[in-house]
Amino acid sequence: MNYFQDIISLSDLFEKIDVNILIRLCVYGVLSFVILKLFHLLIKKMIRSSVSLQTMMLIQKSFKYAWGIIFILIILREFQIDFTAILGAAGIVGVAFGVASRNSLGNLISGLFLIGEKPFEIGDVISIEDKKGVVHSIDTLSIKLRTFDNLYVRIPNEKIINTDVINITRFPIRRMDLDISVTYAEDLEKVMSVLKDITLQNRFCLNEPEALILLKGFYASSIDVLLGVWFEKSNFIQLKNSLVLDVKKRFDAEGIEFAFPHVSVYTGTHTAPFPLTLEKELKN
Amino acid sequence: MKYAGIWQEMKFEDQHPRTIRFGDKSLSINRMGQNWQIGLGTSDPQEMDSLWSDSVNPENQEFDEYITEGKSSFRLKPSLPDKALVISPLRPFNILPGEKVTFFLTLPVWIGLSVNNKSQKEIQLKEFPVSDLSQTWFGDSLGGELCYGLQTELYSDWSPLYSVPWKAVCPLTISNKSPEILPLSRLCLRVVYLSLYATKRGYLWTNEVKVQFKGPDQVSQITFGQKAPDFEKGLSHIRSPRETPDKSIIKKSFGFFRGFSHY
Repeated sequence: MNYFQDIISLSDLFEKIDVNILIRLCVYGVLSFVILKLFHLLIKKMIRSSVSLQTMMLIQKSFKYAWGIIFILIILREFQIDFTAILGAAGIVGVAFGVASRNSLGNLISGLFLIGEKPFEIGDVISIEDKKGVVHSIDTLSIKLRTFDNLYVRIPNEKIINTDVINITRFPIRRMDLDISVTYAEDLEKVMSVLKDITLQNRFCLNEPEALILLKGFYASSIDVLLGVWFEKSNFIQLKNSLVLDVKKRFDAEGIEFAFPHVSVYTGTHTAPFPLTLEKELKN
Repeated sequence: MKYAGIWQEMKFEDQHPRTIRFGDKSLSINRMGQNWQIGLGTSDPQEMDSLWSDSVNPENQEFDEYITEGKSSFRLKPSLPDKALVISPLRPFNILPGEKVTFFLTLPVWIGLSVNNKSQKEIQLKEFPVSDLSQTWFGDSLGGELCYGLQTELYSDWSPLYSVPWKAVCPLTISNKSPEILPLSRLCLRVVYLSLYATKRGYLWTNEVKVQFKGPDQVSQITFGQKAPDFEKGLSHIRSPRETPDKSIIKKSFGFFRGFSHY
């Protein structure tokens, strides 16, 4: 406690305040604000095209915090506060602060790793556990996501370092997989040919890389086919809707039957039809 | 002279709607007072006996309205697609080492409709592709580029290519400077660097494109002509390229072209 009494006492502080100091502080404040704004504008104009949004944000924040520290030092000098005493007190406060903020320090260090590793950038669509959204900001303690239903989600950096992160939009093209089940009675060559034609007709499917059509195997009620089509990452919704519609329409037109889970019941040892006897004729 | 004057400024008589058919696309134009009504729809190419029609079929049109006090005239302006085209010849062939071949192919164009505003500045109201091209990817999944795919015939003579004014004739010269046979099955053509020129009859040409193939492991040189091609006389420049080619862009193009033969 003696430390703080040495550093400053409220009565001393009020004695030191006069109109001139207040005016100077106001001028410093306004100047700081203008310089910060100018710096942000300059960054936007000069390097926006050459660096990523994330780097730009990092530069802006570094400058903002550095400028904040300078501004605090100026205020301390104006009030003629003993700076060495503050540094001495900072040692004790630092230890206390460190013990109290173990998690925050973990997040801070994880944040530095994230910035160095760059698994994603601002504007990428990522998926972390059950959360999926657009990266809104990457800060020292956490990242912020904007989900597709417009929720603001904060995820601590430490969690991101220890979790699987899927960056959905890292590459310019993606593949969309669609599982289609057809009945055992269908001509599989015809099914494959129709699917190929659908992908060629759909304007959101890329011609190259070619669509993947894979007969997955024999299942309990169906033969399953995997249709994997490549698309430009921004066309996800248009492709998904149009492809499902196209497959349904074409299969209906071509008489190809979709399979669904069912159980066939037989009697006896052979696959003869289940014997039904009409005992009484129903009247209208 | 069926299409002569199609790319020139045209006067519009108030309340006399007109429809212009481009293949299976139709563009309807109407002016009522200060309003321009522009509709884009589909038409049956089988029924197309003339480019112009004095009627508007509102059932297959989506109309947009624009207000201007400018004069009652409009201009159709063709342009080339906004992405590179990956050309796949209908009949793939091989070019032997040391050979130089010139082909002609037709490229689908986009049509823009421009009017003048009050201060006589030309404003484009609409732009649409005459043919809906499929999308394709050229290059690897990291450094490639989204393009349009175009399957077309390559001709050694350009005269049969004059059919409609919404397809531009592009002269393409390929030199095989490598010691290997060049299999030509896919070629990325960066049409954003090409200008458009029109004949007096309204048909379109692009600049000449020259490609030097130096081997699958070597960069290939692609140059775009800066003036009207020499194959046809009396061509007038009607559209500048969407992007101006410079040294750095040409360098980038080499990279894309590098892998086309073994993609």
